[in-house]
Amino acid sequence: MMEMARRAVELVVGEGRRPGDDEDLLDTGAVDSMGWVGILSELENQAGVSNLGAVWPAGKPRSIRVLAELLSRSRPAPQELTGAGSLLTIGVRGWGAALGSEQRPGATLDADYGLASGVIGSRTGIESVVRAAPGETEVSLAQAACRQALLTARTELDDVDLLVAASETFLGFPSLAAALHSALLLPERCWALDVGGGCLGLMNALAAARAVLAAGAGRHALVVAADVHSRRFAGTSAPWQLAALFGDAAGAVVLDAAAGAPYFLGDFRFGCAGAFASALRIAPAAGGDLAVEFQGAQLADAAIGHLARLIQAHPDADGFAIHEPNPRAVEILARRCGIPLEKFTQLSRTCGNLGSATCAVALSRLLERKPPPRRIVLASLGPGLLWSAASVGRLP
Amino acid sequence: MPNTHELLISDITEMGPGYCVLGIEPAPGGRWRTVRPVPQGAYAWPREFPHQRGHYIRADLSPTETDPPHFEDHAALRLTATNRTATEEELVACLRQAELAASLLGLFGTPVQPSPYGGGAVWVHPYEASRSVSGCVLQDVRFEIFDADEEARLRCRLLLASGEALHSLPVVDRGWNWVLRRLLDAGRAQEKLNGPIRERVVRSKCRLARIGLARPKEERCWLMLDSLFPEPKESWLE
Repeated sequence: MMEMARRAVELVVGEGRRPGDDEDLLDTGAVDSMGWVGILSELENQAGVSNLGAVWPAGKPRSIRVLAELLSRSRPAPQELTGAGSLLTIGVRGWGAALGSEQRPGATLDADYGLASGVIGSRTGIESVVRAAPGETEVSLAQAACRQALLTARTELDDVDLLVAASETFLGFPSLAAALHSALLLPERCWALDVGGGCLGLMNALAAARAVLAAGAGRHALVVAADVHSRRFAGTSAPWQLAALFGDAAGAVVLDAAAGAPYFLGDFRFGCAGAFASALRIAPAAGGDLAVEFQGAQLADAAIGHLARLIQAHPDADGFAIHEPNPRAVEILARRCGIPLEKFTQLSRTCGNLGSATCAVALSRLLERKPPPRRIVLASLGPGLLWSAASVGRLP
Repeated sequence: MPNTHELLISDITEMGPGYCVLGIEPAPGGRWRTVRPVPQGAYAWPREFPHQRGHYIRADLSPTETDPPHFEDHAALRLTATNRTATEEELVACLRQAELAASLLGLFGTPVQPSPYGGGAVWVHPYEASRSVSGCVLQDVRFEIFDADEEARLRCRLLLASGEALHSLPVVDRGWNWVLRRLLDAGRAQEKLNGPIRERVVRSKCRLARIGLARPKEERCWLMLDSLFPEPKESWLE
């Protein structure tokens, strides 16, 4: 930085005079105000930073040493962060997941919901479901997932510019993003944004974060989805196909607008197939109950059909982090697409349906594999019937 | 006529060229209350202040006219050392029986107000605050070092047990500012503060913050971190 500052000063002052490192260039008349602006502009160009010295530290001389100090603290200019302006340069730098710490075996679930022994296992393939322990909430699970993602990304909390949170179970205000912002003690200037979409929430969150970063509004985004289904369904008349099969978890991803991340987040496809809107409807009802409209066969058929189309659009993919209602649905999907089952994480077998957290947890699992896949398809569905897909690819 | 009180020193905070000192003394019902001995003609004690947090001192105190919300002020003629000291655990146990709040509203009995200048600092109305210092249980802390007037200053973000966050508290605790200066000399100060040092605070059973109010200025009393327990230790810097 010192060398860069010296070169910029010499360029403006001229070869004949070499100002000292601590000399106040304006006070000593080495440069006039226009010359000073020239030095700042030259340094901004060389270092790829913006607004260098816009607020000069009180009492400090306008010297080479202070210029170098400011340069070392400056952040890259937003327009530089996205490379050539392509959205494809938004990188995936970190990932993490947190599962509810209680594991409920299928046999126990059968008993919990008054089913004959083995019904859940034989009909869905689910062997167990992860549930939040007392004291675990959407916020605490999201917090754990975020901390892990930041650790993987080697990114400091203070460097997070944007937090985007999704959940299909969190109710109340402050919202999940706001509560998580406080729980993580993120800097006040960090934007906290909530998005919806049911099980599709993570995809919406990723797309929103990617757009914000691509617009140059920050460098690091922490994207998280967290659900505690067990409490939302507890004490309601929701059918076992919903209440028994959902698990509790959170997954988080750190996006980076600057170069150097190991993976990139590719383009998204989104849509909404309204013809299947009535396949799943959930609304609050009197006495804390849920009014549920659930056409299981219609929903499964539409879900597998849409997921198949979405993942077949990525023939080069070798890993799939997709919405998993249950292991049977994943097996059918894999057969239909001619994809080996091991390329899916099959999270739902031991965790249940993790709702909006599914894709993030699955992505974490895939990226932790040795070796990790080169291209991962994220695909999800939400009531509506919302559908979405994106890919995460390894950078050379 | 002044009365002699025995005070357990709880807070020593940097205040201009000197130190503001707070002690606690037993109150009815097995509780403790905060007393601020104030030297004559000034708010602060000189930097050569010989006593330490956790020391019991004898103070000759007289009632004095107090400006809200610094109701804990007492005019002090002199502070004398005793042989008694309390461990950090004992001091924190007493502070938990003194002024204590679980939420931001509970700290001073009035809502905090946002800074009109931007940033995360907050203040309360002097005439609405019921006291000028309060303890609170914290869940997490993060430190930030700022340049101000050519001097590095320490601020912190605190997460309270209520889930509320204070985003930019100036740290006036003498011990933590001593740590700051030591870390600045050694380099990578913020990294160390938010890494191993924060970890020790967050994992400690003695975790407690004492939030104080600055003297009123333009009808505002700004919140400050008077004390953060556990106190930083020399061994933490190794």
